[in-house]
Amino acid sequence: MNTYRQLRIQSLFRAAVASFFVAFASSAGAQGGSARGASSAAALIAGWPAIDRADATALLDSAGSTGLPVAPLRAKIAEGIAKDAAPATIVNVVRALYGGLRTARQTLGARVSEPELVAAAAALQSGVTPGQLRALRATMPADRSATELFVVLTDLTHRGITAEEGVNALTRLARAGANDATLVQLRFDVAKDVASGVPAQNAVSRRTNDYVARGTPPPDDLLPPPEPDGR
Amino acid sequence: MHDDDSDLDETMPPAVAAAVAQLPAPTPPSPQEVRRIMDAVRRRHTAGRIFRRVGWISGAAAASLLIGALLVTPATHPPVAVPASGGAKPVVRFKLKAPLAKQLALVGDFNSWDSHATPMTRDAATGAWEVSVTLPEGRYLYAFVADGKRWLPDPEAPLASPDDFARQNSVLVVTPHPVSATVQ
Repeated sequence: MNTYRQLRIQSLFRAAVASFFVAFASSAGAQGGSARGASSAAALIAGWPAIDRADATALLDSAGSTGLPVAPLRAKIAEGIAKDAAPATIVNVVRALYGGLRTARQTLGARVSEPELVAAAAALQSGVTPGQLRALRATMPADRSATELFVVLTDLTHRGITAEEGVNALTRLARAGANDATLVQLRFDVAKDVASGVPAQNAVSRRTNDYVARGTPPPDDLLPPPEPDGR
Repeated sequence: MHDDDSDLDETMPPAVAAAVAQLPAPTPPSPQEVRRIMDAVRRRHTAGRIFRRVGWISGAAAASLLIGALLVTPATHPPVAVPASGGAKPVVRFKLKAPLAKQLALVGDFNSWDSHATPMTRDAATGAWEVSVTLPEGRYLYAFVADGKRWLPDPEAPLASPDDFARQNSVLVVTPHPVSATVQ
């Protein structure tokens, strides 16, 4: 925490310098990837209140100094600005993402790829616990990316599946040798089933059972149409 | 009422008529029962007035949904990443049917969410908007912006989490060997 405070104080000065730099020497920032990244982040938040600018800069600096990817945090700032969110709101969202990234790395280890780390952070922010994340990751070979697995899990939680149900279904699929194409197909089919009125839990359960039993994605029309609800 | 019953008695089988004869004679409702029934009628009448007033709001909401449905219909498939040869980056094709939109742009992590950076082109025959983007391997958040103001997730792609800024994003994973769902 002390490190964060120190970085925040330093960032107040750094943000002011960066703003000046961006205003009068932006063309010089186009030298090299890191310089371009720093100047683009500073440019994004140049018009913010000093306190929010300092917080955002501290988070970016902290991520960079601890080996977390900075690009997703910077992209989140850009997204917030594009969506007309208030600076304080954006800082809170970036802080939450920073926390998710840090927890994801603690859970999955330092060697995890950036896409997998970001996908894992999103899953954590959707209610998946670090223990569930670790268990799900363990179902796949270490040399294979679990990015798609985490993306599908996050999507399922958005469609009414609990984290536990999603983890259980994907664990069964992964242990049955499902590849990324099967995971993508599962998500696609479940979304379609839910849109046609099938309860999400039923859709995931039946699709998973069929995948595991057949070893391949089932025909598209395997699920019966939803039953009328009595009205 | 009893007259009608008398007419029916003549057509009833004897067993049914005997059973009906065993039924107790109807008794008039007590004042409490009358009050309870009338209260229920009044409640129902009041509810009807409320529902009529709410009807305008419901109608407006239904109209909004209809307009939304007309503006955007699901694309025929999720984004398709075409694997490139010779170490080149995959080209990802994004598609959305939005026949009523005048402009459509693709925004996401890959273009700093700039709604002017990646405009989409419309197929006049189908009303589908398309754009192809070269993307390196990674996980990307994205959305569509219709007419510069309406943010839309891709109805065919995974949803991102959480909905940080009250506008839902979609997720795209670009891998060295892209996969996509089978579309019937």
